[in-house]
Amino acid sequence: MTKAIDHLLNRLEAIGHVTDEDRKALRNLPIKEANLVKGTEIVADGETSSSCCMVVSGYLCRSKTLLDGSRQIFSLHTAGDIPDLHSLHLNRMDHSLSAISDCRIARIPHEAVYNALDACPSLNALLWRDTLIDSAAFRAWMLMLGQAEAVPRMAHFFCELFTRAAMAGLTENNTFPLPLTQADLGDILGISMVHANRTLQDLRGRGVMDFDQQIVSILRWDDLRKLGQFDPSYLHYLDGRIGRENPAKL
Amino acid sequence: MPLFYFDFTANDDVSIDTIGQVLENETVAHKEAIKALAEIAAEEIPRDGKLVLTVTVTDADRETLFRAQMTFEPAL
Repeated sequence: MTKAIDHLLNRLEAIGHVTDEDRKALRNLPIKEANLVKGTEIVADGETSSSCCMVVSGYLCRSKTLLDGSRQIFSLHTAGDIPDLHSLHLNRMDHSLSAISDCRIARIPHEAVYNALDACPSLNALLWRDTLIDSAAFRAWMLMLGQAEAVPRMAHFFCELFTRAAMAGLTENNTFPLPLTQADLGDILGISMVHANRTLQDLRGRGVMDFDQQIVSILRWDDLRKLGQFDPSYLHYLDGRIGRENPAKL
Repeated sequence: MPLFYFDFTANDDVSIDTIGQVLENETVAHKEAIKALAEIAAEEIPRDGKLVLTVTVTDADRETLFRAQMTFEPAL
């Protein structure tokens, strides 16, 4: 069984009570793993899917593109995330899911997930909670995209990714891997590449974080968090499961 | 693909690009510079007073290729 299930379990354990049955049901899901190169589209906008996609390693992104080619990336997903879990009930995709870095994914047939959920109501509740948290993250990001300037917007982005990486057990001390280009950062933040680059240099200059060789290092968590007005309560992790004040310390 | 640097000055505040960006060609670099200038102006102008914002694009050898400037002059 893939280690991605462990990351999924870590994350679910951070947001709710995972029973032995839930654990068993998840570990028994039939999966088919595949390696993808950066840029591969997994499910296109408008396409129908019959399986869910769990990230084993690397990053996926959800995005939509305007007719002129301008792309907005809505969210990033790493090991243990199932970014198209909603396709169980809305199987025609209303956005695109693609690999933003080289990655390994595991496909889980919808049928197998339905069966697991039918057999295990507590898992149903847990995954529902996970999906609701996913939409809470969209609301938080919408606020930053619409109202915040580039520096707080980028600070918030790194705070959220760091917290989510900590929830999935993917951080190493104060660092986590993030294989993104400047163009990707621009498409996430909704600003030009040059502005994204300048904003990143601003954050580095303040000494709150670093982003080098595709590794993010959080240098001054409290200051970065203040700068990004980052209140992690929208991620709804349970107190004690992950440090509310400072996930960097765990 | 070539490397370009984008240096900005906002009034007397100079920020030198130490990383640079790899882009397809000079035309793309011009476009990106102008987009960034407009975005940064939108954030800076509401802050306070007069603003002279300049972007200078250089090649990898730090030879200037292009410069654009925007001036905001409050009427009062």
